[in-house]
Amino acid sequence: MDGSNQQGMSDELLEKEIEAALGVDPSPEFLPRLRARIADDRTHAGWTIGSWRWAGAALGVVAVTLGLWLMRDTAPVSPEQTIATAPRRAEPGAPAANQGTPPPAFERLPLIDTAASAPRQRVVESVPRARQSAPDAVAAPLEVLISQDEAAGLQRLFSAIGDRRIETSTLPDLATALKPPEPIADIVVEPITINPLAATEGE
Amino acid sequence: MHEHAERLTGSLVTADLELEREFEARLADSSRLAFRVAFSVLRQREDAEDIAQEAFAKAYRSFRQLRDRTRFRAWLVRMTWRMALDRQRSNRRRSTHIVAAGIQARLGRYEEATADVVVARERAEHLWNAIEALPEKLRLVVVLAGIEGHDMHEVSALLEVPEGTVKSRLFLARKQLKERLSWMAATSRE
Repeated sequence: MDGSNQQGMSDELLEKEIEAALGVDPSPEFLPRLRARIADDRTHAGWTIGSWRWAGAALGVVAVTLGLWLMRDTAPVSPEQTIATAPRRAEPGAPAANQGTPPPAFERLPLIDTAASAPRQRVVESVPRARQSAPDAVAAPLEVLISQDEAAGLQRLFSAIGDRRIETSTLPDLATALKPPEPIADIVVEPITINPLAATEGE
Repeated sequence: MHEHAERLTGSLVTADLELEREFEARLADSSRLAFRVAFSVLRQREDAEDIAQEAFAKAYRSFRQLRDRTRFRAWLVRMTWRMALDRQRSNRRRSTHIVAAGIQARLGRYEEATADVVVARERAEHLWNAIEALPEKLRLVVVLAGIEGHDMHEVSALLEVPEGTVKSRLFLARKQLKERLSWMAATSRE
């Protein structure tokens, strides 16, 4: 470009042109819309914070519930516990100071009651039943479940099976053996018909 | 203890209200500036209003964190400028350059298209093209100096650069614009 052209466009003229080009005003609705947008943002921000709080609280409740449920369910129940859940019976000669404290409810016990005075047997309790009876176990000591001779017999049986001295196929089917007795058919009582007595002679 | 909590809550509410009031004052003071900055890039009223709104919404969200509130205008200008440039790029990706017929519709479709108006629009279009062709730093200085009669000091405050830098940038920008728009001086003399 030549110098004469550059001189022709004065700073003043240029500024005037630029100011005229930039002197555009927003529409009259612009400011109200802008205020509405800010108000909307304000409400939205409040809602977001509130919802996060609620979500956090709900999540906490769910976590605690889940934790409690898992703790309750994952408590290991050994096979022995399914057989015997009774606390150890106190020794006759035990010091009196120990009698004040209750025995632990789910203390692991041996299968066999070593006490000679184990008089009787009891059927093995199932797991849920054992859980249900836990508070009761604290309250009242349970009895020994299997007698000594029966336990010895069972041990012999298991060792014989383990040594393959007994063929398990020859054993009676447990399912059949433990099958509940067939229900007794209803007793049908025939209707009793009473025939009128014939008049006897002489009456 | 309860009274202390109430006092604390009360002071927080008061602080929030003060903040709201302050932002409202800034909004009333700077909304046109934001619009014009956006318009200088986009040259379309609707788009410029959109960008100005977005910039203000963004500013509102971060207003509490802005330590030096006196720098609000500078902050807003830079943010609006950046956002407008982004929008311009995305607009360009979406459509090809808008032709003169389209520009006429954008600049003022309600006015009568007399010969003078057409000439004025054509001049404005050339001016805009010349401004757009400037390097970004020079372009922003020219735009800010042309808005609301800002002087060197105000432009340097808005851009947070020394006045000397603004002066030299403005000089360079005007020189380049004059070169590109020399024919306009000839037509205006006629």
